[in-house]
Amino acid sequence: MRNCLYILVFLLDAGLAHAIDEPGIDDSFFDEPGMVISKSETGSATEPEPDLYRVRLELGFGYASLLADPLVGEGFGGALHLGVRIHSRVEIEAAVFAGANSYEGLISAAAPYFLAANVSLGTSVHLLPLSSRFFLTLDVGSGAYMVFSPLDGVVWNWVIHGGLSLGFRFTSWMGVGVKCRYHLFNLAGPGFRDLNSLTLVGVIDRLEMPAYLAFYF
Amino acid sequence: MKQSQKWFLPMSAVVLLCSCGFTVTNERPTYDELDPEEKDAIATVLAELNAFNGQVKARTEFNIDSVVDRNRIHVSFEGLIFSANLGDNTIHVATWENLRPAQKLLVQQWFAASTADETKEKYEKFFYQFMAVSQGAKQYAYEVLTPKWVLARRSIFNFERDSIRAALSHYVAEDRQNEMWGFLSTTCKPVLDQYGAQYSQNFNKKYLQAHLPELIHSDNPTGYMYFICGWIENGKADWVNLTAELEWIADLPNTDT
Repeated sequence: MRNCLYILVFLLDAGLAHAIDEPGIDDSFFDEPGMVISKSETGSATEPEPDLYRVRLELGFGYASLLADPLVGEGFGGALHLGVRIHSRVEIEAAVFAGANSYEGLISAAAPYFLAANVSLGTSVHLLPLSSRFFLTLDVGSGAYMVFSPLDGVVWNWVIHGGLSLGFRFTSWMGVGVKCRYHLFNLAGPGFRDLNSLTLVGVIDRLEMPAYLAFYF
Repeated sequence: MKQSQKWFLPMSAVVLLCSCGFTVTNERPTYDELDPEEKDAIATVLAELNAFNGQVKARTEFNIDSVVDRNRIHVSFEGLIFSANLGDNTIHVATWENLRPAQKLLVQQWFAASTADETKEKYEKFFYQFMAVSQGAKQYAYEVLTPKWVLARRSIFNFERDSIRAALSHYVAEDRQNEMWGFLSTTCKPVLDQYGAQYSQNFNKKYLQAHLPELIHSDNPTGYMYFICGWIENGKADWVNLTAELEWIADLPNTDT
């Protein structure tokens, strides 16, 4: 109770403090060892402030799959992500991913690869304590998906995606990680025909898991 | 709510979505699922391919058995004026009934036909018979050279030109030259007359390669139809007997094409 009273007095302005600054009372009393009040917003009074980067640039490469499609095999792709922190736990992210999946069966004679790329904007939310070197973010986004169709040429359509990113920051400016992102594309757009049935393709899903090298600024 | 329970719903949604089976390729209907008109089209195409296959077997060591099969004749797609062999052991032929009304009117304009029935008759003879044989000639090239070699080494212009010329030679070998060549002359003349001013100067390999998407556009493939008729006219002038035509293809890897 006494300590609370002393802290309350400490917070008064100079004029009021002067009123109690009478001979015999030493203001330095309030600065004695053990009574350190940290003004940090995010940490406890005894933890250092987390090193929050402002900009994140990631270069990735990894697995891409069209999941249930029996005539399209697994593939690979490259990724580029740019994140800008707008809040301690929230980033805005621009993402580019381009990949190739091999056609299988007889239609592979007509076209060896299903080629596609997405350019999207989204949000990443940090889920782990910010003081940790590990990152786990929940990512969602939307944007444009480009498909190269042997029959229709380059076709653009709408994509939405969501997933998780797991990373480790081993220096203040560099880290590594892996992303797992599920895309739903061809949600809207002019449409394109598939090589097998020559009919219009509906909504398509794609799972991408690139490993990435990250740079923080 | 327990920590594990918080993740249950979103993870379940992911698993459910991953198992929904969205695909970039669609399945073709089986033969039994086709309409009667589509089955009739297949029967006509098969009759022509059987005859061509007989010629191939009689003159070479090869055959096109792989496509002489009703399950390898693909006619179920709609809204495309399309005849192709993509190297996938399938002959793709658009049936008259599966064309959109605007496409039927376009074909009527091509052939300068008076009625829809006249247009239909010409369309079926042109695509179900003559063009089907040219797709069979492509299949012969795929069997001899492999699709990978053909698609990597031959231009679309030359490949179509040669397959159409081989089809013309086939009808000579079948003693149907007067019937088919006469029909093709009558059918292609209005195409060449109407669109010659637009395409005759561009009837070459480079133009075709550079403008292929617009020439084969599903709404208006008039440009490609002009090219087909151009190949037919040139093929009648350049034709050789079918044996020479088939043997020449087998020699292709040794020449610069």
